[in-house]
Amino acid sequence: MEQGRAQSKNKTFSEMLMSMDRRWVFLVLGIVTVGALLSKFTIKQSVTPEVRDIYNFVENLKPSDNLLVAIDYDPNAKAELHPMAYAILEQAMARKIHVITLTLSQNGAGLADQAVRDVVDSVATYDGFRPEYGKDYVFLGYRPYYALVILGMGQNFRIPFPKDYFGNVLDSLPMMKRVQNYDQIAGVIDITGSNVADAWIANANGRYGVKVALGLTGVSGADYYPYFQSRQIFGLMVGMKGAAEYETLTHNPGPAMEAMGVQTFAHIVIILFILIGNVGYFLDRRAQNKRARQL
Amino acid sequence: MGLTEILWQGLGVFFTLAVLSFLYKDNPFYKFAEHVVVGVSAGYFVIILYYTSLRPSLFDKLFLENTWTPTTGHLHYLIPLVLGILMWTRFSKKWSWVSRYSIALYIGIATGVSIPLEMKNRVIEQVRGTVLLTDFAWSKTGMLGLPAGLWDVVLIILVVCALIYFYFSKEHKGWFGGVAKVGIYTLMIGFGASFGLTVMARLSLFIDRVQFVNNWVSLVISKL
Amino acid sequence: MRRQIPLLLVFVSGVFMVIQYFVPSAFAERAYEFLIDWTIIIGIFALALGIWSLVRVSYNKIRTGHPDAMYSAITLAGLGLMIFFGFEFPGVSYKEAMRVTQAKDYIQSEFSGARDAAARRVFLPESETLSLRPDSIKTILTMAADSVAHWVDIFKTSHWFSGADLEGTNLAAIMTTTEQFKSISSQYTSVSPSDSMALAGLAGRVSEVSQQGIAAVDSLKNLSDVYPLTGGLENYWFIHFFDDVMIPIQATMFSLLAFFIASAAYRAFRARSLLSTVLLLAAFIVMARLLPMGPVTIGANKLTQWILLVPNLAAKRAIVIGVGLGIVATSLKVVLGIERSYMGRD
Repeated sequence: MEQGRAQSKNKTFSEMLMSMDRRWVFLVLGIVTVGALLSKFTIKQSVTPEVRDIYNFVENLKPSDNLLVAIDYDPNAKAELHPMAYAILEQAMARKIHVITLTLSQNGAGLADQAVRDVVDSVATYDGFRPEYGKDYVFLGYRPYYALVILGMGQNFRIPFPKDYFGNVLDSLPMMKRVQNYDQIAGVIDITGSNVADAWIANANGRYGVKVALGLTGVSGADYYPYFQSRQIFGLMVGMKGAAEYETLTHNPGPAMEAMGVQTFAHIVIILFILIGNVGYFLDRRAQNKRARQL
Repeated sequence: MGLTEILWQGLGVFFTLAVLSFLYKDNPFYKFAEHVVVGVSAGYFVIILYYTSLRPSLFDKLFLENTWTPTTGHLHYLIPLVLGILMWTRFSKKWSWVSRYSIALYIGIATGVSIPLEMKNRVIEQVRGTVLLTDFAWSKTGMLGLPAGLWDVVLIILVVCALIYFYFSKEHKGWFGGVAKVGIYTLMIGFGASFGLTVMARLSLFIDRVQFVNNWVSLVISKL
Repeated sequence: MRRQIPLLLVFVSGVFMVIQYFVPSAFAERAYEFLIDWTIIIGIFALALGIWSLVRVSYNKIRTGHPDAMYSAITLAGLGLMIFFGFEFPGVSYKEAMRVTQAKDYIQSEFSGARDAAARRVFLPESETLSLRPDSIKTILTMAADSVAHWVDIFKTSHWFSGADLEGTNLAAIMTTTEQFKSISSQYTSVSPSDSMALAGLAGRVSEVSQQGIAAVDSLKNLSDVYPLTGGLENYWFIHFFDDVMIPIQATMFSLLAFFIASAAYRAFRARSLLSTVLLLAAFIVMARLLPMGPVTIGANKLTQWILLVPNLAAKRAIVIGVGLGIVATSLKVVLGIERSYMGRD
């Protein structure tokens, strides 16, 4: 025990930093996040051109234009992408744009159904009319093998989706009688956290020329800027910030804007941890160099 | 919101806290939640797959809507039905070779369709975006207050440098090595940007959970 | 035979799909549609293999008394429960059960909505809240009455309740209320928008009738909510298990990454070399745009846009081109039979 105490006394500051139990890091992050949420701190969002392009596209659509919103994410990406889905669906439905939703993600059907139901109720409450299923919006449901489904829809929606999520034959829905394939769709907004985005770009835009915009998680967002610059996609929303920007544009503050205030403090914590870690590293290196010179 | 809804959401809060307890250490609550989600997700997927995919695309067409005539019927759906069932021979040591026919058709179609599309979208369109879509507008003010045309030129140079970095058939020495070095620094900036966005993404996931628990606690307090 | 025919199938189908992209013939389009449709269906059967694997592995653990056997039992229980909740037994009307369960809430909300509309949104010249024209109020009341009648009809025609169940309720009073709504709504057409007294009188009538309706709806509470244990994608239990079990657990599992990235950033993110320093700086600039530091934040925002649209774009474009060439090369190898790993071993 005496030896242990002696050893711990000899530990340098940097060695103590490096050997700290990571659960202290977890605790600090947890406390800061909860505290920031309870403080209700908000931060104004500056809107980027790539998000504004999506908003302007939906704003410029005429009532009864058809918009395809693909809700292609699982619950694990819900935090960043659900606010995007809500904001876009609400903007489109409030403007009486005909919305076709579907999901190409295996656990996304429940999320898509939930989003559509909630937005319909919200529009009924705040915009004075209730969108009617089959006339104003349709939910096609889920199909596996997204690349082939996207290609199939380019020929005819009825190839991958003979019926909608609720078992209705597509031709029995008034809205779908006029929709054959992408030629009748003004644009596709794909909200996803996976490779489905690549399939929409390659198959829908590449083969059939339909306009595509993407809503992506922060993890994959940076990878799609080349497609934005080459105009294969007309808009790009990345992560919770992108969702918050869209909520700002639609004047519809929601969970994304609330979360951005919390993000600020959490980012400060991460930056501090990185700085502390590097300070410790450089102190350690200096001590090692000093020891080497003494030897 | 009624008591039952509060109880259901409370179940969600319980599972949220059970999974978060892993941060302290692995424990039976976390293991319980982990195994529950594996089973429930699989069951959910089975139901979704059957009722939204298999039944309307195959069984309804073959057994409900079929007139069983060559001209107006859906007899051709017997082919994917048979091929799909053959896929299940994969589990038999003796008959697993039969599944190769189904897999071969699937692989052939999926790869055949992807060849021209991937070439067009990942290569040709990207090269076009680099050299043809840039308008070299020297009089227009671009990012950071500098001419937009400057960034178009810089973009072309950086893309070429990064591509040269990935060419490992020639040793990275001399002028080639210098260009590759510019390429690797470009890649590092790109990875740094990705890391910054990833931090935001990961934190968002936790913030959403805290919002969820906070909303439930507020709801319970308001009902008391 | 065992390898040659599959290789031939891959070659023929692969080449056909490549040529079809460039040849706009009606036959090619038709064949393409068939093949896409069939391939999705064949693929669905393949997905079932994964489920079978899970069942087999879990069952084996239970059978052999593995230390985690209890957890495997939990997995199988979850699987079985979701399949049970989602399964539609033939001859049972699940959609109807769901609508009956919703009916009570819908009737209640129609009456509350009408009452609130009358109290707050009636057209009064001095009204501070949203004003509606009399014909709009007439439309709202008529729609509410039709909606309530529709939901009452669902109760009456439902197979879930017997005559004896319905006798204890006040469905007749609810229907009378809808008639009164329609009678009041027709009176709105003869009222001038500037006649505040008449409008206030009608609003009072609407409020009174709505209250009677709400009291009558109370009798429906004697009818038990219909929550069949099984029954498809809209089943109560199926939806709640998705919303309150699956979503929280899956979302929270991924939220653990926030902590791990913090820990990794603290322990491993070092400026050891110029390359890693450049990476670190780029990351800092992107993260700094979220900090409330006035001009620093504005500068970070502008720099971040530049980083994303110039060096990041260049880097990711190079990667995308490389990946694209790799995909094309690998696909060609598969189609030409050079790459055969998908066939497994003999």
